[in-house]
Amino acid sequence: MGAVQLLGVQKFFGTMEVIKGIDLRVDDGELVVFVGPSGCGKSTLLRMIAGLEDVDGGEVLISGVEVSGLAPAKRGVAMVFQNYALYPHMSAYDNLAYGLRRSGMARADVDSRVRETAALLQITDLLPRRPKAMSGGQRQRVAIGRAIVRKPEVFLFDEPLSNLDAALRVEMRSQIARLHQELKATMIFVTHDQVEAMTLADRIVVLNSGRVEQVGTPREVYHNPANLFVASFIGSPAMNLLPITRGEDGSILLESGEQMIWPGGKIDGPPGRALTLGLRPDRLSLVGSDQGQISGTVHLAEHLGDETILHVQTAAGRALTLKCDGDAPARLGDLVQIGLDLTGACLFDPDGRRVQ
Amino acid sequence: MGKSTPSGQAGAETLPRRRRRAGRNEARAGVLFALPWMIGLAIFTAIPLVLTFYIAQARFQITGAPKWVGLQNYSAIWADPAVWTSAQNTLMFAMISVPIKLVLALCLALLLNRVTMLSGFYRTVFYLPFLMPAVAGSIVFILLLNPVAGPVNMMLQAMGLSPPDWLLDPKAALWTLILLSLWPLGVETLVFLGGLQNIPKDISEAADLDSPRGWHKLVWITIPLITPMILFNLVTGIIYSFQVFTQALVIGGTTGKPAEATLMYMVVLYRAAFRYFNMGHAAAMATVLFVVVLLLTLLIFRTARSWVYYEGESR
Amino acid sequence: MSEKTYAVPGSISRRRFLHGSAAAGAIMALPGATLAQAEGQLLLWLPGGSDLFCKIHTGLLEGFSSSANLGPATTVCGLGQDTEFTQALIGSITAGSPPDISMLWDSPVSLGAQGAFMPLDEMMKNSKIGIDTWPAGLLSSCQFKGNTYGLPVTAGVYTMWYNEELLESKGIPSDRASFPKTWVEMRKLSKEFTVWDGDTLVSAGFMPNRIPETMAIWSALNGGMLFDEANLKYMLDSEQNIEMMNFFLEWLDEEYKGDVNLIDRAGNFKEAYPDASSGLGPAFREGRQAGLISGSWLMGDIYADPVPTFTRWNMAPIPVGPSGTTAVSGTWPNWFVIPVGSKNPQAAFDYLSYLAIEGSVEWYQQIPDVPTNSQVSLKAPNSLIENRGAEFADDLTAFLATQAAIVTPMWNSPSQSFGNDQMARAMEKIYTKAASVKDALSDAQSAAQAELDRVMAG
Repeated sequence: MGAVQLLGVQKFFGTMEVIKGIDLRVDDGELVVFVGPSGCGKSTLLRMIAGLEDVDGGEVLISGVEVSGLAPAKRGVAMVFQNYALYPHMSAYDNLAYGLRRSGMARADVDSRVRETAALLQITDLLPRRPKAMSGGQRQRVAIGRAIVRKPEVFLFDEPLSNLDAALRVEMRSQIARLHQELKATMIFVTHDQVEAMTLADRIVVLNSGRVEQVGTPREVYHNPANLFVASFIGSPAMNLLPITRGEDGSILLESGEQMIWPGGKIDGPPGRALTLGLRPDRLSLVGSDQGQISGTVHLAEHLGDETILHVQTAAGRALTLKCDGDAPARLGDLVQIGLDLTGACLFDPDGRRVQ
Repeated sequence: MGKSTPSGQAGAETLPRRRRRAGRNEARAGVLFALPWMIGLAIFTAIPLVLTFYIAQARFQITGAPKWVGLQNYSAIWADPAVWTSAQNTLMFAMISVPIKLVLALCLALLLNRVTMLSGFYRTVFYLPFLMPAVAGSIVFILLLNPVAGPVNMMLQAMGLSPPDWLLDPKAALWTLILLSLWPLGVETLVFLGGLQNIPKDISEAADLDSPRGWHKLVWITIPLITPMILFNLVTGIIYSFQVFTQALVIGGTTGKPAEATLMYMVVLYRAAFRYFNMGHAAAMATVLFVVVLLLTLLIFRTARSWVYYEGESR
Repeated sequence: MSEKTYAVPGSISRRRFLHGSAAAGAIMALPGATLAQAEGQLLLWLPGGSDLFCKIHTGLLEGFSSSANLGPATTVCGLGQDTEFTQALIGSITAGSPPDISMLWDSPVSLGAQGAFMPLDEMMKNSKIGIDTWPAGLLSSCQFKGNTYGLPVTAGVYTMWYNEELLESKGIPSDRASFPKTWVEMRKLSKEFTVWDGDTLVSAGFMPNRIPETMAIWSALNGGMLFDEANLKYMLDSEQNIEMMNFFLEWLDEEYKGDVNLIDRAGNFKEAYPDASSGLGPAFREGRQAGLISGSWLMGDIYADPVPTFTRWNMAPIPVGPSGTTAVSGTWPNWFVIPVGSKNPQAAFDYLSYLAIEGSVEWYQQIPDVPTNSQVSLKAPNSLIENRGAEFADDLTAFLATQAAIVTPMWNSPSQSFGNDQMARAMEKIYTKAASVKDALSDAQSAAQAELDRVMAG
């Protein structure tokens, strides 16, 4: 029930392949987030599941049934759109009731289902209003209500929060999370906002240029990125990437000439092998003079209260980001020493593949 | 505060005043830009309109001043059987042709809305007939519908059907005129097309997800969202059809051949003025038509509140 | 007016119809040349017509202007036909810049009564075209309350036209003297030629009249009249007229299956010209109709396309109805008027008097519209001599003169168009059996009389 399976799914716009043979399984009741930069194909993929785009190759299975040839309304899916897509000429009540009425449900049943859904989303007050008379958050709740009311097997969310202001976005995020808990339905959520992805997802699917870069839990994609793309895309501020070479003894040779020991022992490969070291900003810290591996000038200090994000320019011209305490003393223009903590660090080969 | 209050007040006053001045300048520029059009409206519409109202209550000779006769012209048109016959024909024409025209234009617009290749070409092709003079279009139809040598009847006969006497049979002639009026659909279609293309794609997709049936979407989503265009086409269609003239004159002449079946109100009005030289009669007819169309339009606008959806409103 | 053409060589063609309509569209923006000119320069408007017609009149006006030492003259052709032309003319008169002279194809009485045209009586008194030089019956089409508002400079004369060859093929004598003298005889003879193939009319003899404009002639032939000018009374539902329409209707039922639509589908049996709306050819010229009433202008037109399938046609007096006693004829004149506001009224009148006597002879030679002024002696037109020989042409010209002498008064109602339309409506109702003869005519009578009274009260 409610599982979505993609088998070698392809999509072409003209001769351009925009979805390049994707295989994916979303289990029943799972909340999966598609994340990736704009143009990566995440919305297209979602719309192919919904039936709003044709599938040019491969198969889409919902609850074990191949649905590529089925009309969107016959796939047991409901979708929430970025711009809400509420019917502007109908009240919220009618927006919710529309699909039920068209499916031939009795008037009394429609009414009880609409009111039940409205109560769940706390939009009962909005029912008589038209979309024009609602705020963005209210409209989005109604749009979600319109999806829920039909009790679909799969919910599809296409960047539903991107038109809301920050505070509202947080609130709606928690509401969607709560709904997922209560409804125990399969949900696929598309976003370009990785915070949304991290906070909501059971599993994250990172997409890039029509391909799946990695599928995993938020922890996995954050801590164990499969490749350089995922590493740099997930996490805010982004992971620091430093060019290194392998020392004779399997140690790490920084650009500055400093040598460090890889926590797991030695780095594979021949000496002089060029690699990229990935380090989360919280693994970098300000240290006293002569204790740091790298020195640089503070370029920008973002004081966020409980923490400070420092942007530092190294002597070699690299930009590094540090996450420090809120009371870190560094100021703009200061020359600072930075210590590296290689715990949880990643190494990538020149092709961007994770090696260690 | 003692001293600062007056200056504060002054400051509070200057700002709106300055704004007012800017507004006035803007208004002046606006009027200036609209002036040529307003002058044109006055000379070619407003003055003739007022003159028509006046002549409607006068005996008007081609030369010399009109003589005031009060409501005499109105009682004359009330007693004129041709006015009643033509009013009946015109009403019939309007009641049949306007709905058919709207439905056909909507169908055409729905089709064009789906066309992606050569859409500009199709739009142009459907609009072109509108640019053709009605006289020429009517004559083409007369040739096509010729009972003996016309291709329409030839085709119908080849299909084993017995075609009507399009232009000779009084029972068929009004329908022929209606058929003819359906031909230039371009404007109505383009108005509908504009409305259809204004419907956000995601709303249409949401409807696809809510019901698999195309007609559900058409009836409950698409048509309600283009009701402003339906209203526009309805009102202009009624105004136009009440004033149908050129085609009727070409087909039926000034006598509405055959058997006054194509005698339209405007034809009676026209022949009163320029064939019988009874300007007062014609002006009174024009005034009556004006009032009837005005009332009908107001009535439609009144009912429109209950069935037209406007994007701006938020009930 | 029906779609018939008048006094125009060549039949009405669809092309010309289009041309006329397009011109009507342009009336709203009359070009400078169509508006009144300076003193001493004559401006003439023509209500349509062929290129040849336009050329003849342009030439006549130019010749007159230069010999009279007037400035350069302008002739405007193709402003539209019928009502369209009238519309333009009324517009120019009310705007105060009319042409100096205009030809009309409709009686000038109605507009004259509205004060649109100058009365010509004063100028006629001291001219060579005084009132007594015009046939009174014809001039009455221009007169209202003692004023003469125009001149019927030339006219087509209506007679019966028949196909001698077709008559002879049935062994019937084809000379004029043997042609039927009464409607009853004509109706009897007609049956000889009428052949049906199922519901298709293959050929016909003669037909009940269906042209409203000639109804005044048929009524007079039955001893009646449509309009009593002396008493200002319409007579549409008089006994004679009811009898006439009953005669025609019985004839239609007996010989033509009572269905005018069947006739119209088989060709144009109404007139000797192609039908403007169906495009069907004239049965008479196609040799499928023994004879019909037509105006003398057909003498020129008959040799234009469509060329007759036979050579020997002839004319005869129109037969007399059951209640009639004397043969009469009728006309459709080319009227000329001088609109109120003309910049050169005297020069315009001088041109009319030139046209009435000298100009019309030249005009007749190219397009046989018969000059009507008594001072002009008819001469056979050249095209007729070329085609049929001098003897026949002279005989026909002499015959036309006798017919012109027995013209019945017509075109003389101050509400001429309205009355004509009422008659047309009544005929249509009668022939399509939408109303009884009596009802249709009495409807038409009361409407026509009411309109006449309104105009007279004006």
